[in-house]
Amino acid sequence: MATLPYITNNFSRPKDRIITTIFIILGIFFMLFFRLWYLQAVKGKEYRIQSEGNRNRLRRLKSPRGIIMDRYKQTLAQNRPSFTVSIVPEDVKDMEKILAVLSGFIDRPLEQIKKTIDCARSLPFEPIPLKSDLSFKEVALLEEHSYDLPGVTVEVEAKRYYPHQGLAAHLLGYMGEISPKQLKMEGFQSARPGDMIGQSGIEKVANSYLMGKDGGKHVEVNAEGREIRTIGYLAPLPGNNISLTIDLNLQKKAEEALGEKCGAIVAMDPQNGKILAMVSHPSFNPDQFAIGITQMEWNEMLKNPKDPLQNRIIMAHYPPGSIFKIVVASAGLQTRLIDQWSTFYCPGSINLGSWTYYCWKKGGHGDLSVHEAIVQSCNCFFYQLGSKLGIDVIAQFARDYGFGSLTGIILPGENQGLIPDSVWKKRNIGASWYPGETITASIGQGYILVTPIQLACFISAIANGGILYQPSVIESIETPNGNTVEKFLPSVKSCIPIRPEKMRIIREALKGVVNENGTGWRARIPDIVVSGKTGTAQVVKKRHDEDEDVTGSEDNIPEHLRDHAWFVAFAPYDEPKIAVVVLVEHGGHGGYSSAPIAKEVIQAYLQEEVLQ
Amino acid sequence: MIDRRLLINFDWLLLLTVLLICSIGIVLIYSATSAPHSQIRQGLHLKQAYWIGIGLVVMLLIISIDYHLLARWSPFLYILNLSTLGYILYTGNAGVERWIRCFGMNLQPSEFTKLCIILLLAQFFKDKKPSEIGFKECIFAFALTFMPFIMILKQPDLGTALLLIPILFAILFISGIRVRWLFGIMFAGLTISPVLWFVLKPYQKNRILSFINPNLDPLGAGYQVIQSKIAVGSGGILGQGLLRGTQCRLKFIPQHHTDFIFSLLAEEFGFIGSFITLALFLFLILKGLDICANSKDRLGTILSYSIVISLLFHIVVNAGMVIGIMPVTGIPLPFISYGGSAMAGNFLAIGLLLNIKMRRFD
Repeated sequence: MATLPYITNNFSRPKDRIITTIFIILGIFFMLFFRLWYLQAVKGKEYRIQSEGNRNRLRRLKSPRGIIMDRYKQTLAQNRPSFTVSIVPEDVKDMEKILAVLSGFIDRPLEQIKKTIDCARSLPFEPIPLKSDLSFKEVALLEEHSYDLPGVTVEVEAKRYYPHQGLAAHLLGYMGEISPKQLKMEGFQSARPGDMIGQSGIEKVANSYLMGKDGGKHVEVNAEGREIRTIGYLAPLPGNNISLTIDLNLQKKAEEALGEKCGAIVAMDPQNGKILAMVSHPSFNPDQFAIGITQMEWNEMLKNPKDPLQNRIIMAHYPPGSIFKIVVASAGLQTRLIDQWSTFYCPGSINLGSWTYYCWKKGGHGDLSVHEAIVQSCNCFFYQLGSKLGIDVIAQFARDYGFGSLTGIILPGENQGLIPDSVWKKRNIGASWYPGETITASIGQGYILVTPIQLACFISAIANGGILYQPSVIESIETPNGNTVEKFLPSVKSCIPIRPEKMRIIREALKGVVNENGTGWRARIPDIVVSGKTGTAQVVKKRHDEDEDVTGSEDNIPEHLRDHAWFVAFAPYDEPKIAVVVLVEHGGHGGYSSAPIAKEVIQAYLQEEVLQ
Repeated sequence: MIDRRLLINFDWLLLLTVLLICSIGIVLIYSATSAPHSQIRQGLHLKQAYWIGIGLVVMLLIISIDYHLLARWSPFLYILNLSTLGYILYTGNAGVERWIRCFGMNLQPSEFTKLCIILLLAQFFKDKKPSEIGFKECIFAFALTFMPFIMILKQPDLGTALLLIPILFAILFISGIRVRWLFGIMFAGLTISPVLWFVLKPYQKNRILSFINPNLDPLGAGYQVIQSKIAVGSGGILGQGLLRGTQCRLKFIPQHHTDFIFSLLAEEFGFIGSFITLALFLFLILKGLDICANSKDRLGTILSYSIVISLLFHIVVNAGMVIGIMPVTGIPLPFISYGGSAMAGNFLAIGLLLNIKMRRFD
């Protein structure tokens, strides 16, 4: 290297250090060259063989999904082993021959297998699953002939399994293949096309807890694609387990009590908002989704007019019918428009303009106090009280009870229902509110829509003396070893602004509905004081605004035109432990179809409690 | 600013070497992106040629400005760089992105950090006699390096951040710091690091542990190293031939157009190809040290020396990673790995070297 003296400064030149550096650099490069020579010239042939069959493979080890349990740790959703046969096309030398053999073994047409392989969007050397849930005979056949089937592997895989089939299906939800859109969403970075994730219910909302973390292993394979050595291994991390608030035995009883009827049952612990049972019929079997549902089955479910996929408890809304009289009554008491002793006269119908509004009892009830009006579910009493209150006051009290807004349950797709008032009507329908509409609203018909879960929160608040809880379905989340990750405490949404003494009047009246020859007498249980209220949600507008008809004379009306039957209840009266909402679609009268179901549920729960 | 005398001293051989290396890069990127099933966009080699064009322009720009002037501007350049790094952290892109958008291009400011530090510290040390370099000076140099170091670490780009450390040591070394001091600092660094360890979050610890020992991450770094070694080895002496490297083309090696591009080179062009490429790099480095030894003044010496060391570390760490003697880090191979910011930064560095050489007589 040429050297030239510094011209402008007088510091000694760091020449020595540069020379040292050159020697070090030459040494480093010598090492690099040597290492390359070693890898490429000395070991080259060995590595060439390894690269040819791509003998090093990365296999994913799927993490087992967390288990879903009830409040007493009884399993509701778990995993079961399933044998799956896969093929690595790159390892197969004579594809035609092997597929022909394979199609005989696993009872799948050759064309279908070919199509599966063609459609698989997989990386090279990635196994393509051909058929899961192999029978033991099929597994035995494949294992026996594994030598003749290079590139074909049988592996055990975890599949979701619901031991109670359709039980609480809407709450648990179902699994489905991840969609391309979901793949791009946060939380699914490590997911791959074809993975099963929760698509509704708890499986969906708690998916990130249940999912766990996949592991994998780095293996060396031979020319047939069989593993001969494990080089690296990362154990999969199982997902967390979830305990729900529901009680499996009560859920079973409730499912049985509702039977084949369309409708919904919610049972709630009124002291903390925890849901004890949640039934929505018609239901579906989440196991079918786990096995893999066919397009035909899926379309059939979507086309079914009874909509089995809909969780009626939170997604469907109906007019509350006479249950709404509780709201109107408490509004009257709280605003001091009426008191315990004030009465209205029921002549059997009242007139407003050219319209006549009927009470369900022909000839009328005569003079009634608020207690008697609720017990008898008199319409005329509430026509008059509601008209005096006006729709806006009624709407305000309804909202205070949690109607018209989401209850905040974590399940996806909750409907907020509708509480109309004059402003709402102006904005959405563009007309002013008519006094006649207030009359209809006073008995819970017309525009008013509520969901069963809102009614459950409402009746729980009446049961516990005025605390509106946010309904909860998850009790706790635990690691597979049983350590608690998260515990969910009851969350108070608000307190109902009704004074305790007024609330007592309402509660007394609800006790009377069941125990004083009221409309809900069918829910009476010996030794347990049940309180409740019947309701009938009109499906078609009728000339007579009928309510409870003890004789149940609706049998001659076609089923799809019959009214929906409501019953809300809580028990025991003094120290409520359970609140129940029962809805039977097209069940006719609440007292007739729904009250006996509520009785069964309450009885089952309180008897079980005694045993526990 | 550029007169005839400067042009006579222009080092054409140096530039030719760089362009040769760049063309190897284009061929490799073409091979990498034309693989079947490739998720990388096709035609990236053309984009790389475009980056090289931009690199040449910024190189010419930097040549036309006297490096003394550049060194005097260095505090501003440093602060500008620091604020762009800060901006990235602040806007919350950190952890996902290392880029800022500028003139329709995505710039990666961390690629320019090393040049800023080199300029700033060279300006600082150029008037200091070796005997004047003491505790205070060292602390100052450390503090200036530490700030961008932490910011790049938080992006998180451990590799780029760690490469600032040899640059700092190179500057101290060529500035004439006593070797005793240098060892003292290294020792101090080693004693402090356990304390820092407890400050780190678990995931950061994991990252550093698997950086030191890839076997702790058997399916990530460990897997890559084994696959990369197979790719390199399977190249043999003559290589598998262009577009024939199965390891890289079948995606057994991730990032084979950026960080792991050397394994593609070794696989497709064998020992001959990788030897020639490394020899070109070695020639480039020795050329740079020649410029360093013959520079007009201390500023030129410090600048050119630290630039050469920076290049050296990039080459050695990257090639060493591919052949399994260095930990896996996201360090690109200069002039070959795909990437616009790195290309521009490297051409700036070459421009500075040429700049120093051209002005060694005035």
